[in-house]
Amino acid sequence: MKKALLLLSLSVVQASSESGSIEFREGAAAAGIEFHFVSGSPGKPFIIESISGGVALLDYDNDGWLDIYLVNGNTVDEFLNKERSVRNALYRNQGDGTFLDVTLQAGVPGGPWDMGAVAADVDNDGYQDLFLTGFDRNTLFRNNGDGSFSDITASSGLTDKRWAAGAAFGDYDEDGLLDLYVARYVEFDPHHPPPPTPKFCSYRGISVQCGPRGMPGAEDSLYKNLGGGRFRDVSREAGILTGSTYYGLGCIWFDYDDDGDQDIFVANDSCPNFLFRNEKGRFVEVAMESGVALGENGNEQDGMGIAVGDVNRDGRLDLVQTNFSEDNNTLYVNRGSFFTDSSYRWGLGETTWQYLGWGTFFFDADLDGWLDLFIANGHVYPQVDDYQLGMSLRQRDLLFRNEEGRRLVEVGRKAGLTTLQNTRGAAVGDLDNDGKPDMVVNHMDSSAALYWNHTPTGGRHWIGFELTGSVSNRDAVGARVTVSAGGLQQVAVVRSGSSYLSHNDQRLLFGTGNHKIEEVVIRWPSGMIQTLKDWKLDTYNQVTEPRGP
Amino acid sequence: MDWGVGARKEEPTRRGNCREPAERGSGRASRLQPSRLVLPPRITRRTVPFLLLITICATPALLRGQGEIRQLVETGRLLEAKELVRQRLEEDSSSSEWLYWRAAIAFASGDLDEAERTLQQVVRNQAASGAHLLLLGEIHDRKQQWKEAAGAYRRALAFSHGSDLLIRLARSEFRAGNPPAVIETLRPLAESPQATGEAHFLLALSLGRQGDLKQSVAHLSKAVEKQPDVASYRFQYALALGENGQLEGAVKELRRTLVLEPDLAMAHFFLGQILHNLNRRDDALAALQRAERLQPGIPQLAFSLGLFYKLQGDYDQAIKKLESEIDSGSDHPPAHFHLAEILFRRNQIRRSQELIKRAIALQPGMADYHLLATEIALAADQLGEAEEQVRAAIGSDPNSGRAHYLRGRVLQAMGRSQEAGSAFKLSRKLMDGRREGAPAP
Repeated sequence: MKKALLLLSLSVVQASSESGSIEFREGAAAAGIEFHFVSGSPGKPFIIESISGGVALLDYDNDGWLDIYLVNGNTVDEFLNKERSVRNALYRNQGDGTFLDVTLQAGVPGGPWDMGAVAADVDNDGYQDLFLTGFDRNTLFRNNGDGSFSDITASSGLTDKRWAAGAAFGDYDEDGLLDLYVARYVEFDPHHPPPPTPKFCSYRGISVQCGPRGMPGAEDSLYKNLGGGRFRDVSREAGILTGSTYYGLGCIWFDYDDDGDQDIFVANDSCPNFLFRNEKGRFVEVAMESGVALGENGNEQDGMGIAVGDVNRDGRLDLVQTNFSEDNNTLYVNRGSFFTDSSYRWGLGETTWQYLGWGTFFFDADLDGWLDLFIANGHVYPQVDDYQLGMSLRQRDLLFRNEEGRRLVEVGRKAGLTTLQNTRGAAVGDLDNDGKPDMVVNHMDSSAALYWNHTPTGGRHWIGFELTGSVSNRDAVGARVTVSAGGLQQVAVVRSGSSYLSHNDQRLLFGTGNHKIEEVVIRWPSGMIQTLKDWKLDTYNQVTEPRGP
Repeated sequence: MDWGVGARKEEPTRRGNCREPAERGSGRASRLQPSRLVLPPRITRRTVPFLLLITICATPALLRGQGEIRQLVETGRLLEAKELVRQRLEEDSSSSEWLYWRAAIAFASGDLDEAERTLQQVVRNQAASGAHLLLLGEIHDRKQQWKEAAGAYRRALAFSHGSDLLIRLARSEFRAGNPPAVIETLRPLAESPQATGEAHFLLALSLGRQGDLKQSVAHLSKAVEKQPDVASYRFQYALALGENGQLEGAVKELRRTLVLEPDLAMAHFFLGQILHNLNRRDDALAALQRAERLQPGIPQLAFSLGLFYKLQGDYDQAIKKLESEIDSGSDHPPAHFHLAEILFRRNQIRRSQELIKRAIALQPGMADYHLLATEIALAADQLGEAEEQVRAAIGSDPNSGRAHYLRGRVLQAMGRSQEAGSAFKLSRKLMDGRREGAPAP
């Protein structure tokens, strides 16, 4: 995929002004993906059985085609016996709409009970490495560049065995190396599970698995990348240990205040969220004053997954957090120095009330220039199916179409998201390089799904960017691209790790509709501002960070 | 026991204040058994013919030598009876027997005042017997003068402690809002195997009002056992079970109640509420909707449906029902609060503000109401109002992390960042402190 920068002339786009309907078609089995995600037993008596299931979309072999990595779980019995009869799976994209399971050749079957997966070129060698969060073990696989990976966990400094959920890479100290944030959930020992108590092990009067309330939370970790695949835990010195041990699940790096450095948002389950503002390499927790700690009414929510994107095209990055059922998923609109919970005003509140949300991402499904929103759903308690609660274990995933920055309207059923599943991880990426983002979701106790984007574009165009850092980290994580078209701006940022335990395509894809592109500006993590003079529509433009002014 | 005028001799009988029907040799008397009179309080007054009462209480001593008048009364020839009594009273104006009959005939004719005046005359003359006092009690009952009725029945206790009298006394005391007196009256009776369903029923309701839910449930259980076909006993039993947290039992009893009285809207209503608590939402909704079809005006039914829809996330239906509750003139503050919240989420600021202000006026001191009012005022950029509301919320619940968080937001919007920071810090501290099971910060 890393090709020479294309310097082509500006194209004036003529496209249909019609907004076609979004359409996805599931095609995992036909594409050769037959992945069954196992997570404990059907009754899910332990909290560990409900949390796993990440997805990563990465081009591990640099052939220009996105590959798929799916995370599997385990059962408590096998875990206690130090066994695992299932494994994660790496599917190599063969470029013809099919995938090949290369897990064993690549050497990435995973740890004892994995949770999520994040890809990042941690040693800046041009190949994306893979970090797995897990229970009892995290794993760092170094990409050998020959289609195989080596487990370098032991030498990496990432050996902390505490239960890790979300993870994300970002260069917080601007040294050109990707640092790692790990959100940790609870302290849980399957050898000695907490005794069931009605207070912490029931839901609406129904006996269910215990936790997270009633369990001690675990402190998150920030690891500084020392280079060469080695990391050092700098949590305390960097200021991310607040004294509050919350139940961390999702995390994401994003420069919410647009000051050029990378801040961190952590979605905490049943607790206030964290927003760590980066102040020259030290972090200050500012979630409360920034308006993202709690819901609009001041209630603690149950944060799971995170999406970041400029939903109203005002140049500021907005935030979506998925939450538990009988609560709304939250859209925090960025007002500059603080956020406003605008969930209900945007139509997200009422629609998501009965769903329990996990993976989520912004993407322009129909290339109209406005970011749509995907939300994966599924309950944690199988017992809800035995009662009339107005909800079920398996739920429909939701797709919200962005009505030109005014409102998000749910169109999932019409778009082909009709099946009821217990979805966890979800990732977006252009798997067939046609400029239309596809989706991969991991279904707990069922088969993973691949949704090909078949949305008729009606002549609408797109432009993609694949960035390579030179001064900055090679993945260009944190680079911000602004595309101006039709008098409005679109902003996107290269990330490593988001959604829920997942990792999206790192290429940046902009739907441009039928508008003429007026300007493309890249702000690299190093601080360099680059205004592109030439670009090409309907393809991925490869841009390497200039080394000098 | 003899209820005859002037009689003082007491002898226990198995059936209380009246002699055994067989003793009187009257086939009609079989319809006069006390147990027939034992009906739920609300039903008794409408269903027991007053003449039966007179007849019951007038036998046998009172009627000795007065067969003629008895016959006239029993056959409804009241004018003739009245004339006969007038003649007799001309002969002996202080005759308590004939004064009794004058009162009884006035009572039968619906002239309650005349009946009461007559009996009071006997009482003043200190010639009242149990029968006089019982009739006086009944007259007060009819006039809904519960305390006076209870007073008359209580004086009648000097002549008898029969179960029917005790139940009458208890019933009047209950209606007079005097549960301790009911308990005192019925407790000894309830221990006897002769205690009727109504005795247990009244005792149970009074115990419930005194907060003794466990004993209340026990006596309702006995009431149902004694008279399994009385729907109101089962209904109250179900409610007590529900209140006692025995939800499955409550559902069972409500379903049995509805077999006896399928159109008892209140039973459907409570069944809906309990099923909702039992997470049987489909059945709950069906029950609430049946209640609504049968009796749409049940207080708070529309509210319950509205709240149900709100919890389901169906705001359109929730708005309809909550509006309907409020339009019906209900001053139920939570209806105003929940509707205000929904409309606020739908960005209908002005209406939501009106509603929350009404809720606060109806039920002051509710922190949640003030917090919603704070949110609404913030959204409307009415910062002074927001500050006032959040202050009231904190006044009501000083340890509310939510309240201090919203105060922080208000102060932040007012540009008072430093104070806002302190409020946020306190909010987090309070929230962390309340998170049981997690280590304290």
